[in-house]
Parts: sequence; structure tokens; C-alpha cells
Amino acid sequence: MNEKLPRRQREAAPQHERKHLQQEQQQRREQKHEHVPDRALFEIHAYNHAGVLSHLIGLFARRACNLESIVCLPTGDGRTSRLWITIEQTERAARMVKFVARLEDVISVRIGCADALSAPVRSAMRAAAAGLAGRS
Amino acid sequence: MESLTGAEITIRLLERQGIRRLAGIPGGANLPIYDALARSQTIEHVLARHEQGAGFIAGGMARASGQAAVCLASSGPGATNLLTAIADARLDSIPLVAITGQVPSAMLGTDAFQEVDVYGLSIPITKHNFLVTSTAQLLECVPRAFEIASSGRPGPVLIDIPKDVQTARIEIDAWPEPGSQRPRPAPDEQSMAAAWALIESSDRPILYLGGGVVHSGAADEARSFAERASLPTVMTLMALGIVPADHMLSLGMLGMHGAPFTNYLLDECDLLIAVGARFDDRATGRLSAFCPQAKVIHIDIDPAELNKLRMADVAIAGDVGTALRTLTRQTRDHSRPQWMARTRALKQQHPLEMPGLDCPRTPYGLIAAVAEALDDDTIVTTDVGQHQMWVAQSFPLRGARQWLTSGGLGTMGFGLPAAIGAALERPDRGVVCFSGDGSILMNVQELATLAETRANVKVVIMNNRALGLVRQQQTLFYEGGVFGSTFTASPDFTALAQAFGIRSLNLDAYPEPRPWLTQALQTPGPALIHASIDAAHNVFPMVPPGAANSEMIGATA
Repeated sequence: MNEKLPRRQREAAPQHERKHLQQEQQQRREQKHEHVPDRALFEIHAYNHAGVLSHLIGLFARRACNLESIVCLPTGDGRTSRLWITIEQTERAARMVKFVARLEDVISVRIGCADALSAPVRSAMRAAAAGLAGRS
Repeated sequence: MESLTGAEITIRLLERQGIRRLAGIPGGANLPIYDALARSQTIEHVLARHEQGAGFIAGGMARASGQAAVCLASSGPGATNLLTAIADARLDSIPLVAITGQVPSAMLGTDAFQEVDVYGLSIPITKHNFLVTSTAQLLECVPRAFEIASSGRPGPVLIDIPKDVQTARIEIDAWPEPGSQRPRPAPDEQSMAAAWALIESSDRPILYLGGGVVHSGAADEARSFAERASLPTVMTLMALGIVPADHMLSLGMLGMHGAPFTNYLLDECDLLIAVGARFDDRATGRLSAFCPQAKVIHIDIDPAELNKLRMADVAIAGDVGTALRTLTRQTRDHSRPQWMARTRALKQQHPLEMPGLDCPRTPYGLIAAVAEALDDDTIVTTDVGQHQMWVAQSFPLRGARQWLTSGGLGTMGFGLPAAIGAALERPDRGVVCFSGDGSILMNVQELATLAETRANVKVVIMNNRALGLVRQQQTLFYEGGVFGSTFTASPDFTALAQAFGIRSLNLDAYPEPRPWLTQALQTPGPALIHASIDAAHNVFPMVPPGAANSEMIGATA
């Protein structure tokens, strides 16, 4: 939760202050979401080998575009994976989807509204958690 | 069934690709590849003197031929030295396959000697890249690298091969097909019909050609289309030569250093037909003021370029050659007498001023004298700066792939190695490299490569003892605060060439330099020609960065 605090502050803040800061940040984040409810969601089908994610997230990082969430799961026999990425800057989504589609390792990409499609993302996360639990 | 090492497989795959020449430098991590290369009967190796030079030699080969070219480097500094040339190929969409050696797989990520994450470093500057993890994988990666580099919108691909992958031996019973260009998608008919309708109803159309037309091999198609529909044609820096400079419909280069009439006419057009062009800021100036009255048809093979910077009324993803052929077939013969008259009038009222055209001691005069002494099909390369813009403005280019310049990345040091690559690729044509005293020093070591290959390259250095275009911007936009852009020490360039074993000529030494220049240019083999240029010469007109193209400094309103 405290990843956005300046590092020094994060380390130096005593326990109770840290909690306060976290609450404040959480509030800010919620307020922000009230004003900007839309997030863009990319649903991506890509090959599953070393470096694919690196290619993908580089496209966003290079354009100073923050990834708000990212979920990645292997599909079928594990040769490919499905990824869900959400970003806050929805106005960029239409352009970004073309850059994503241009990657050699991306098989397909489609774009949806994060709010409308949050259920599959949630279930993906549940599946991921279940998968991890199954393995341990 | 053959038993071969990864290095031997790599070289065999390159041979099967039809590669006859590649440029590179050996080092610890690619020695197995060099060992295999030494035994190749068909591939000639060009030993560069810096990996960036090797990258640009390959870039020059690819630009001159349109075929993917190969460069080799070792791991670590060898690979990092290649990066600038790879980025240059990316920005100009040049098919390049860069093969780098890497430390053995087991040592990856341990900060081994000369280890650098070239895979990670090259992600944003390649079209695609590979870190090969097994020898068998080479059979897949190498052909695919060529397929990716040359398909669709071309671009550079890097293959990073750990040393153990190069030395491991596997049995080969069948070779994969060489990687080749995937069929280019044809534009969809509905959008083509919409484009055709816009063209038929337009009174003041302009054709705007970019490097994609060269890559698609569609220069003839572009010219036919312009002629059929009577379209005044502007070209980006990358597209110069597609419509010959002296063609009635040619408006030359648009944008920052375009002719005044070119930028003024763009202001008046009601339809802009962009073909294989990407609305680069150097071409458009302030985007909101670019062709303000125009509807836009945008044709490009890369869908990501469509609506990227300027919304198109008709956006067409597909091969520009096919699109141009279709449009030429569909369009009626137009003569557009009013628009042609307007074009002629603006050309007359606001021409490109070329002071000193008759004097070979001025930039325009020197370029004209060089052009006069050369065959019409001589390949022209440049470095980056004032000399590049003067040549772009004034050299009488007459065909595609005659003009090789670093456009998107604007890399000083490009000219000489690119000229070597082009000259080796096209021994039937001479090559002239225009450079500046700043640019030439950025890859001057390649004079040794030039001396070794005896490639038919003439280097013409315009020496104003400055980083001229930087000094120009400082003079114009920083209250005359010239800093860090002038040289107090300047090498004796003719002596420098001789030190490398290259013939040289100092034009400054002759009261009447023209015959000496002609003789030097027409003698086969490498030569360096030095000419001092008055530092007061600047490139005009100039659109200040961020301004509208109609706001040109040095143009009469």
C-alpha cells in the first residue's frame, strides 16, 4: 500500500504515522476513482516465453503510462498466456491497443471498459490464487 | 544427417537466406560464429573498425538494396556499440538483422566479463528480438528474424546467441525454409472507394509521400498516380527522389527546411493524400496548423500509424503499392488547371533561395558542382546537420534508393559507413557521401574500412569548424548564445585521409576548384574532398521547432 510514498518517508515514518499515511493515500485513491471512474482494460492473448511481458510493459512505460493492474495466466497447454492490463489514461487506450497488436508475440488484443470487465479479471485473480494454493 | 555446431548452423542459415556480405567485428563471445564464417564459401566479411560502423554499413546495404542486411558484434561493448545503428534502422524502418554473441547461458545474469543485457536494451529499438536458449532454436529464430525484418513495415531484429549455444552440436536432418517477406495485406475496397471519392471531389489535392513508398518499391506507382490525377507532390526527407526534383509536379521536401512555396501550398490544399508517411514533427511543424483546411487520406502498411498524430478522414491499412495502383486505375485523368496555375504562381513568388549556386565555395554551389560532375544514378549519402539539409534541398535526386540519409534518428556518423555499405552492395553505381566536419569525426575510423574495401566512395566534407545546425539554432533561438558548438581545433582532413591511405583533395588550395573537383569525383576508388564553408551560412528557410510550417524564418511572406 505504501509504494507511492517517498522512500525516505516510508522508512522513517513510525508505525502509527505510517498507518495514517496509508489511510490518507487510500482516501486519495478512492476520491480519484470517483472523479475518474473509467479505466481502460486490455485483454491480451500472447505467447508464453521469457521476455514477452518485458516487451509488453515496455510499451506503456516508454509512454509514461502507469499500469494500474496486471494479471497474467497461462492458457491451455501453457504455450500461450492471457493477460489483463488496466490503465487509467483511457484516452490513450485506442492508440495503445495498436502498439500492443504490433508486437510479434501478441496473438490478439481487445479493449474493454475495466468496470464492465472487472468480473473476468476478478475471476482470473481467484483462479491464480487457487492455482497457487493447489501447487503448494 | 549432418552434425553441426550452433555457429555453423547460424552461418549456414545466413547462406540459405542469400546473404553474400555482412559487416561486423569479432570478440570473445562471437568467436565460434567467426570461426564458422571463416569457412563460408559464399559470405564476404567486411571488418568494420567500430560496431556502430558495422551497423551502419549493414544499414547502407539494406537501404541501397531493399533487402535485409546483417551485422555481427560480440557481447557487452560490442553489442552496446551496435545499438545506435539499430535504433537508426528502427526509426527509418530499415530491415536489419543484428547478431550478437552473448556470455554462456550458465553465466547469464552473473555480471560475467563483457555481459550486458542486450536483449533488454534492444527491446524498444528493435521490431523484435530473440535471446536464443538452445541450438535447435536457431533453426526457428534465424529465418523468423529475416521474415520479421522484411515483412510489413520493415525494421531491425536482434538475435542474441550465448556462446554455449554457438558451440553445442546437434544433428540436422532438414533445413527450414529461408525467412521471407509475408504477403503484404491489400487495402480494403470500401476504404479505397471512399478515398477515390475524396480525390474526385477535391479541387486542391496534394500528394504527401514518405519512406514507406520506397520500402514498398512503389516509386513508379506513386509517380504514375501523381501524373494521372495531377497531384502536386511533397516528399519527406526519406522519400526524396521518388518524384524527380525537376519533375513539374515535384514540390520537393516539406517541413522545417522545405521551400517556402511548398509549405505555403500545403496551407492551401483541401485534400492531403499521405502515403507511407508518418506525420513526423520535422515534416508537419505544429500539427494543429498543418494543412488546416485539408481532409486527409492516410495509407500505410502499419495500422499503428493511422490516426496516430492526425485523424484521417479515410484511413487505409495496407500495401501502399497496391493502393497506388488501384487509385491510378480508378482515377480519371485530371488536369486541374486552376490548382496547377496556383502551384506555378507560388513556386515563382516563393522559390527556394539558393545563394551562391554558381560558386563552388558556398554550400549550394559546392553541391551543384558535385552533382554536375557525377552520373545521374550516383547514390548520395549524408551525415546529419546543415550539409544534410542543403543537399536534401538542392541535390537533383532522380530515383528511389538514390538518397540514403538518417532521417528519424538523425544520427551523425551515419554517412561514411552507410556509403561503404551502399558502394559494396551496388558496385555498378558510384557513391558520394556529403558530411560535415562535426559528423565525419563521429565514425571517422571507418576510413580504414574504406581503405581496406577500396569501395567507390567519395566523401565530401563541408567544413565550417562548427556543429553548424546547433550553432544555427543557438544563434536564432538562444539570443546568440553560441556555446559548445564551435571548434577551435580542427584536424587537417586531407592529411587525415592520407594517413588512412585514402586519396584526398583540399579545394581550398585551388583558385579555380571546379576541374580538380570533377577529376577527383570521376576517378574510381575512394577519395576524400575537403572544402571550407563560410561559417555565416545557415540553412533557410527554417520553421522554428514547435511553430507552424507557414512561420518560416528566411522566407518572404
